[in-house]
Amino acid sequence: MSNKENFSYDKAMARIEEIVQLLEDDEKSIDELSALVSEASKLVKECKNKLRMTEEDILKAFGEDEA
Amino acid sequence: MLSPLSLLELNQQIQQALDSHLAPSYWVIAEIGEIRDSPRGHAYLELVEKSEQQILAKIKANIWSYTYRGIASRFTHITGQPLKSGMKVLAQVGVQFHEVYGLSLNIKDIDPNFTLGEKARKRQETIDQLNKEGLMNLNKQFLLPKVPQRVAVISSPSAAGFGDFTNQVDHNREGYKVHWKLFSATLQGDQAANSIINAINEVEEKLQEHSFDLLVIIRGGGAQLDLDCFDDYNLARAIANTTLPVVTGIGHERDESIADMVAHSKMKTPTAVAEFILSGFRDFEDQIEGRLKQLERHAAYQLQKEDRRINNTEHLLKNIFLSQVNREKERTVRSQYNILSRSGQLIKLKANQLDHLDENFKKLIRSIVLQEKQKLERLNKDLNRLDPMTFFQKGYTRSEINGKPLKQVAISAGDILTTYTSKEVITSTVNSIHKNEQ
Repeated sequence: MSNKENFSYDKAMARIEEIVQLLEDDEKSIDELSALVSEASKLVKECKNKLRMTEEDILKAFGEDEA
Repeated sequence: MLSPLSLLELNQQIQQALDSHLAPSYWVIAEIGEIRDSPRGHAYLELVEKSEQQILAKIKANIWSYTYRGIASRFTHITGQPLKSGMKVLAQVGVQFHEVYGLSLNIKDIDPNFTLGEKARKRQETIDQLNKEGLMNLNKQFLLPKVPQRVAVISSPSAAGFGDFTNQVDHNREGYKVHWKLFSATLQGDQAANSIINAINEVEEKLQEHSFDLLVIIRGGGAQLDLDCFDDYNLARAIANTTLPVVTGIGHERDESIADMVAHSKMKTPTAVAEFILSGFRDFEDQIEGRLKQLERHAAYQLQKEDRRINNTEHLLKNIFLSQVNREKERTVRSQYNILSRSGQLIKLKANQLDHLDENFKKLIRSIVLQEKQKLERLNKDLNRLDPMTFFQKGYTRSEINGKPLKQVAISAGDILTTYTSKEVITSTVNSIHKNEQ
């Protein structure tokens, strides 16, 4: 999931939602939980990043920076 | 019966009778029927009196040489011509009878003034007759050719006047070419009139062949005497009746001859005739030159006029074109302005629409991004909330048996319990199990 070129925002979001559900259900061990949290927060970062980049790209394409 | 006389006796008696009964001399009017000079200088004549063509009286006459010389020279001096047959004279005569030669008149004197008057009278008669017959001005009715190039000349080839004429026309300054043809005639003496008439007839015959413009009768040079032939009625008639205009150059200083009067134009001398012909050429040339100049002027004027017209037309065309071009230019400018303003409006409109779209789009993007951010934020919060570390920091702990959350295990005393805090992992054994009453 860390590969940027194969990064899919939609898939990442689906995974994050899935992890949130898993955490809500609380049926995993601590070790698994920690790993899931860690994965999810990384995906959130990447999604944020992707979102920012996308916004910048679009605005740049329309001749206006996100100021 | 008287005894017969010898012929001599009779002739002597006749002589005596004539001498005693007749005056020594008489003035007699008679026509010279015939005159001839003798080798000794005497003149022998025949005097006649005629009525019409009938002879009423006739007699022989003589003038002795010493008398004849005086009479002849005085006569010629005054009348301009010698004594000749056909002339009417007033003569002082004595009647003489010679036993051998018979009756004759001895002419002692001839009054030249009578002949002169007689000639004038005859001349007047001829003139009157020509007038009466309408011949006097007949030849003058012809229009003179402007350029008489083909000229029939009646003259004597030996006459000095003829030489003057041909010399003048052949060597004129301007180099005009005059084609002349000589019709030879005798210009003096009894035969002159007939000879000239014959020449006129010859010209008439050859008129078609040579297509003459003019007939010229010239004389001149030589004796100033004996111009009577040019007063001849028949010649005058012939000249009047020619089909060509006649110009005379008879060359005499006295009154004009009848030939001169009936001719179309009369010149004093053959040279003058030549000059007259040449002046026609000159006038014509002058006229042509005048016309040429007129033509030139006219042509120049026309050219100028056309030039002006062309210029005016050109100017007009230019103006029309220019105004049309200007009109088109204005139209183009107007169209351009219209296009510009309308396209400007359109562009503004589209730009506005685009701006609008852009704004909307940006808003949309921002809202989508915001939504996503919020979603992410929410998920993040959920994650934080659900992170086990959050519970540990609040003081909660988590216990598992054999790696499984307690809610999934049927717990019993003696089970090994693994408990996680924020800082430690505690392993303990379950002593007892009580229901949580809270």
